[in-house]
Amino acid sequence: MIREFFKSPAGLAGAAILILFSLISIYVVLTFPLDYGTRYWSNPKFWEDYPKLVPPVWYNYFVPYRLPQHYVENMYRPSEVSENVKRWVFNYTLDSDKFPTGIIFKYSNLTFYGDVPVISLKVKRPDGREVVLLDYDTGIPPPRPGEAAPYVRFVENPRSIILSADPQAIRKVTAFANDLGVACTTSDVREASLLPYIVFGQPLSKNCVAESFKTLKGTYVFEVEMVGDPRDEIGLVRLVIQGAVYGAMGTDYLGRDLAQGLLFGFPVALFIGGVVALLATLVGLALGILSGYIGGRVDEGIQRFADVMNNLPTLPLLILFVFVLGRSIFNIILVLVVFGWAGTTIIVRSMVLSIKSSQFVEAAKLAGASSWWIMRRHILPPVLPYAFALMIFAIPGAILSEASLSFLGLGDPSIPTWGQILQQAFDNGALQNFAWWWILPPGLLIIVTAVGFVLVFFALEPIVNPRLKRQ
Amino acid sequence: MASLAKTLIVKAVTLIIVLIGVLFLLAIIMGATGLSDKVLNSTLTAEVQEYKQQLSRQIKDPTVLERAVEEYKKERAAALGLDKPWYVRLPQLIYRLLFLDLGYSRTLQSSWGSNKISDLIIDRLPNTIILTTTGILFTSLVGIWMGLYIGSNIGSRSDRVVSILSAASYALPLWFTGLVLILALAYGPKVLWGVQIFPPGGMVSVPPPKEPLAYALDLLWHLALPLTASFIVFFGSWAYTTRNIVFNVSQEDFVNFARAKGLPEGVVRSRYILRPSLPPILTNLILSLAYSISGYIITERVFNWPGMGSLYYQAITALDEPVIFALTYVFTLVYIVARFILEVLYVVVDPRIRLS
Repeated sequence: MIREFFKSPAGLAGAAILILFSLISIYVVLTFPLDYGTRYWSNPKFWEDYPKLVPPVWYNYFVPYRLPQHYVENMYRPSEVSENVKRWVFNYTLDSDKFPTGIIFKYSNLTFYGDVPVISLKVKRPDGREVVLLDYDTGIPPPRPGEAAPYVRFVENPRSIILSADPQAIRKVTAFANDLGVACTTSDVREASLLPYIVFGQPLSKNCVAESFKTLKGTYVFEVEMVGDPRDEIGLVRLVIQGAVYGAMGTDYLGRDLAQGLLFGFPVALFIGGVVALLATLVGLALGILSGYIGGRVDEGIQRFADVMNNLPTLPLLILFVFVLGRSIFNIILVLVVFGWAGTTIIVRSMVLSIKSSQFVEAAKLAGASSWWIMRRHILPPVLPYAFALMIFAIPGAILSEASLSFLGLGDPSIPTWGQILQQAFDNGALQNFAWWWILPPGLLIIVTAVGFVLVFFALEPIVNPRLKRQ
Repeated sequence: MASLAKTLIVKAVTLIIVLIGVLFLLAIIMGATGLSDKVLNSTLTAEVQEYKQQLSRQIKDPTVLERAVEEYKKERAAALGLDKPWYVRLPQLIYRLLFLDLGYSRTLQSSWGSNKISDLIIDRLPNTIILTTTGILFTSLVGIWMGLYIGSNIGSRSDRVVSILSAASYALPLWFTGLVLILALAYGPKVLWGVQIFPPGGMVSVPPPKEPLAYALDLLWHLALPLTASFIVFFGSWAYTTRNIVFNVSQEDFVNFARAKGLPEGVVRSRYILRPSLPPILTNLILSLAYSISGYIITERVFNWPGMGSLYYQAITALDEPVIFALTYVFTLVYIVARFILEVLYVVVDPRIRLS
């Protein structure tokens, strides 16, 4: 039977997809924390450093220009110390034709003994010009009355300066743009996020727009300087130059690494599909056997009910129920099971009717077997293989329904799913920005998963359904 | 003949029971979870708050104000039905619905500002009919025609293509196809080359063209993407179902006999194969049309199409209880009427049912 299954190309392809997806799911379950959704995915703070809405790294191979990679460098101790001055020096090499999307300067665990230290940031460009980006950091809380030295700051939350949004940096950079001969005002720079263009660019024209800059390739030396008491120190200094490409799958509007969200979607999709299909098939199987074997009023009642449930326009009801019961994964599963068992019942019943009239059932009855015994030992076994095939067929339906609900914003907010990624993409301008990397992969994964199960069902059906075998 | 009438009556009664059953289920869901009370209470609080603010400009004495507000609150609670428990309030709603008194919405309004739910439906229904019904008719007619053709050419190349398409159509959500089309044909050209080939959504341009002909063309332009999406997704399954029905009939003995008799192939196909294939094909067509009234809820949202589906979605997100009830009722009613029409049609097209 197994050999017969693998002989069909559909079965082979379907099984290959499903095995691959299951392996990925196992990998994800083993490596991701269970509260990944709440702790990381839905926590914008965690994704602060990541570039926002950029395509995947491999996009570089398909475009005629080069996009800059993401750059993160951590320094735990200063590069130079002289008396009361400490310096951290970062070398960043720019070799792309397009500009980085932002600069973030971060530090944590600042300890000082006397006055608030002066922390500044400047960059030396390949053309020899020097731009001071920050004269001093105004965001350090001074010693509180009654607090004794050493004063420790930014332990839990690091100090984080996003230069494109920092008034001081914008002022400095605007002045530098004027030096370069580009007529910019601070509001131009702030509103069009021109900071990276000015820092990393050379001017082509006087207009203050992104197009009038060309990247200045070469090595940029960023220097963080702290002037204060000789004992003052910083635990960690980080410089982030946000790239214009990121990771295997790009990022979304919050800077979330889509590769992670998509990976987490694998086990969730298989879990929801599997559990819903299993429960719905069990209910459908039980009711179908009862209905077919007992007959009479019971049969009539169950079949009428199943007929209605099978034909009602389900999506409006699904939406309503999930909305009313609450957007948790178990409610979604429950509702999908309630609206999913009827088809199986109808098919199983028709199979039971033909088995019921066969001679071995008659013989068992004559031998005095109870109805329960006959249903369990004589009716169930021949029905089981086909019920299994029906279960496989029900899985993609459940996965697609969950995706539909998620797309309407009715998914479980604590668990990222492919449908939810699509919903967020749709609601946050993925279409308007032509962010194809945000829309195509989740949808294609949903489709490929569904196709995998459908193919397996196609290969399975002629094997388990004796009537189809003859054809 | 008497037995026929009896069967039809039994069917009609069962369908009406289903209708009432769905409404009761709905009432229990909304009532027992406390959602209905919660919604009404929040409406009441908002109304009372507004009244109090208005009144506080005229009445300065706090106790008098408090009393007036209290009075108003009681009056509004009675008007909203909050003074009665949900198992009294909701059955009344059902009773009114059954006699097609759809009532008034709480927040949603039709495009001319009416709060009557029947106006809301009249406002939206034509849009849904334009989108989904034309889509289904177009797709199904092409699909059925194709199915009839390949049903008598089983195993040909076109047969295999359609089989694959039908498998794909099961796995391909309509709304995602719509998203891809919008991405590739509406926003893609606009972002990359600055040309607008297709509109990204909506039913007509803003502002809509004045001339009737220009209006119709504009509407067609907006219809192009949703119709294409619906064709891609449903064409395969229509062709495949029809093919299976036709194939099953053409395996029957009477077809072989007709051929053996030496009847021309055209006669065999139209009289002996097509006629008995008709009832199940008709069933599919009519049920899809009935479903299409509830609209493609998600697809309408993707294409920003102001139809029944997006109305239902708005009603749910705005927690507009009367609209939710009324629409669920209308969707179920349409389905039930369609089922009954089918039962009658079976009798007309299939003599075997008429005679038994």
